Amino acid sequence: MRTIDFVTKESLRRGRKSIAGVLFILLGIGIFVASQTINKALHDRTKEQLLRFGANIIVQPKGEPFDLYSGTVKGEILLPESYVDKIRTIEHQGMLVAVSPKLYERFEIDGKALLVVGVTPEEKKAKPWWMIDNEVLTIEFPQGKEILLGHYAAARLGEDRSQIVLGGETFRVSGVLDETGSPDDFMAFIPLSAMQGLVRKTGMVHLIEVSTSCISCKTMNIYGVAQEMDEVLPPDAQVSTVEQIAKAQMGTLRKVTGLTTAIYLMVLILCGFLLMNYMSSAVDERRREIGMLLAIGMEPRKIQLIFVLKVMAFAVIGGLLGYVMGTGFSVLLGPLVAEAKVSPIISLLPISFVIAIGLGIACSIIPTRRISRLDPVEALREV
Amino acid sequence: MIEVKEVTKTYGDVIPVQDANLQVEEGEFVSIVGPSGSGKTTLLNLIAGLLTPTHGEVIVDGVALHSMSQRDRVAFRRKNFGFVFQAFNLIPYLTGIENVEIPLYLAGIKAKQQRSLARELLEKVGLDDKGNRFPGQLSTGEQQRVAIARALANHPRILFADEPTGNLDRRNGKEVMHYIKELNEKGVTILLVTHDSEMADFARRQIKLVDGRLQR
Ligand SMILES: Nc1ncnc2c1ncn2[C@@H]1O[C@H](COP(=O)(O)OP(=O)(O)OP(=O)(O)O)[C@@H](O)[C@H]1O
Ligand SMILES: [Mg+2]
Repeated sequence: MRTIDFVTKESLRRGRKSIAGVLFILLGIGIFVASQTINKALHDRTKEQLLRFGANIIVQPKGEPFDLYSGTVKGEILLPESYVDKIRTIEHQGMLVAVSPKLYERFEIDGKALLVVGVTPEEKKAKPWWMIDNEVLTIEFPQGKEILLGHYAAARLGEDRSQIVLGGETFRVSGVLDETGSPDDFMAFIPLSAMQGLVRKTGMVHLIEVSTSCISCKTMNIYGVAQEMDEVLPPDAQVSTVEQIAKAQMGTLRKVTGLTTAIYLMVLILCGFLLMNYMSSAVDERRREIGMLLAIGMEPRKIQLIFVLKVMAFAVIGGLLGYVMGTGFSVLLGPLVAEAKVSPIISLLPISFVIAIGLGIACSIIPTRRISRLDPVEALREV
Repeated sequence: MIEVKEVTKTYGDVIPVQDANLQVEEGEFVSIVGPSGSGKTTLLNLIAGLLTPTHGEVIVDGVALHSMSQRDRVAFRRKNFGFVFQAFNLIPYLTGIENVEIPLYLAGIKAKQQRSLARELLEKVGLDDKGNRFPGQLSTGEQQRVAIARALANHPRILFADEPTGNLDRRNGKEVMHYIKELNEKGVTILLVTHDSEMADFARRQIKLVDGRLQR
């Protein structure tokens, strides 16, 4: 016998009970890891958004919130496409690189949702990084009855599609974009006029994305351009810079992060209580054994060590499994719930161990303290 | 070797042991008999240092047990005392041989050596072929024999046995008593509590307790 044998042999012989103990830790760590992983993915995505966003000014109907995560508006209010020409009449029109009107629609394709965007060739100017097989787009940009698929959108639908039916009309797949790390990956693109025909909204768009260049930034900054646009456009159009939108959305994101932090802290505390209760009843159930060991001369400290080692073993297993399951859960479900690509955070693994072991030890202090106060005569008398 | 000097134990109004005086020499086999509730277990636990007397003292080898620190007393028990309980108190998740290894482990003997020593001990109680069974897979008589092997592992100078045959039938009880008697013949001092006169007859000296008082 070695000290560790009291831990391993007991845990293995009482397998089902041990699994319960591991489960409490697994649950706490799993939720911690999942929320951290998804939070980070959302943060990264928002940051990337700022870097990758083609436009730096958005024109949208007043009162419709623009969602930077998906790069879309959500509502039903539309703008006339003719506003594009109005924008082009501003004083510093030389700063306009691309003025790209867009019309969105969700379609179901074989039961899978696909967000399709109607775009004009301006979109290609706004997104010079769009590539197919590492080459800049040429003829693949959709024309007529063609559709261009985002990287993950294509993967979700099945790579080898040559055509896609939208609202009863067949579109030829013109190409599949390389991964961009932006919401474009989850979308598909067709010509704006085709989209307007499909959804019967001729001459209307959801929003207009404006990309500016900074050649004359010294005399005129982006806020000035936005200001000029605001002046030439009718009052039903709202002009905002992406920076403003991003700031507002970072604020919302912080609230979401705060909420998930509160949730996993609560779960962690709950798991702590469950674990404490578990350890407490483990000590109770083994009173006779403890009484016998005390009687034959085992130091109370050594008996306590057995229980602490047991909780540590649970913590290591629960911490590892919690990390794996929390990560797996977020990587698999992240793209579905958050439309973001979620990658594992390796540095959470040691943190998981630290939290799990800390939690385990903290929750076994009170239950195991009773061991040193246990009266062997009392314990042995119980039948 | 053991001196019990005017020991009294009280629990509020209950006085399970009153003014007990007793001397036990090295190598003796003493049985403590008496009706249920007369204080036999309490007296045995006082002598074994598991209970602290309200008055008086227990001296073993010239040292007052209860003047030692808790830590020293635990170590003293570990080195000098062996215990056999009525309810066996084997650890259910360990095999018979592992149960026997516990006192060897407590004595700091290496795991490999523990195994061979434990096997020898099980041989002594005729269980060398059943060491890998768990207590639940042994008969009650076999369980108590494993418990005896465990009690012998640290080569105790004094063996405390509280109703070791209380949960056994007559045949198994007698077998267990034979092992205990054999031990005594090898020089181990035995203190046996029983209310069974047939078992008490194995001892060379009998002490009777009535209502917490020793009868001569
Ligand atoms: N912790 C305690 N608190 C109160 N009373 C106790 C306690 N321990 C023992 N007693 C009482 O002391 C008396 C003697 O108990 P003890 O267990 O020593 O008797 P016993 O002779 O061993 O009996 P039995 O043959 O039934 O085992 C009993 O009346 C018992 O109820
Ligand atoms: Mg008794």
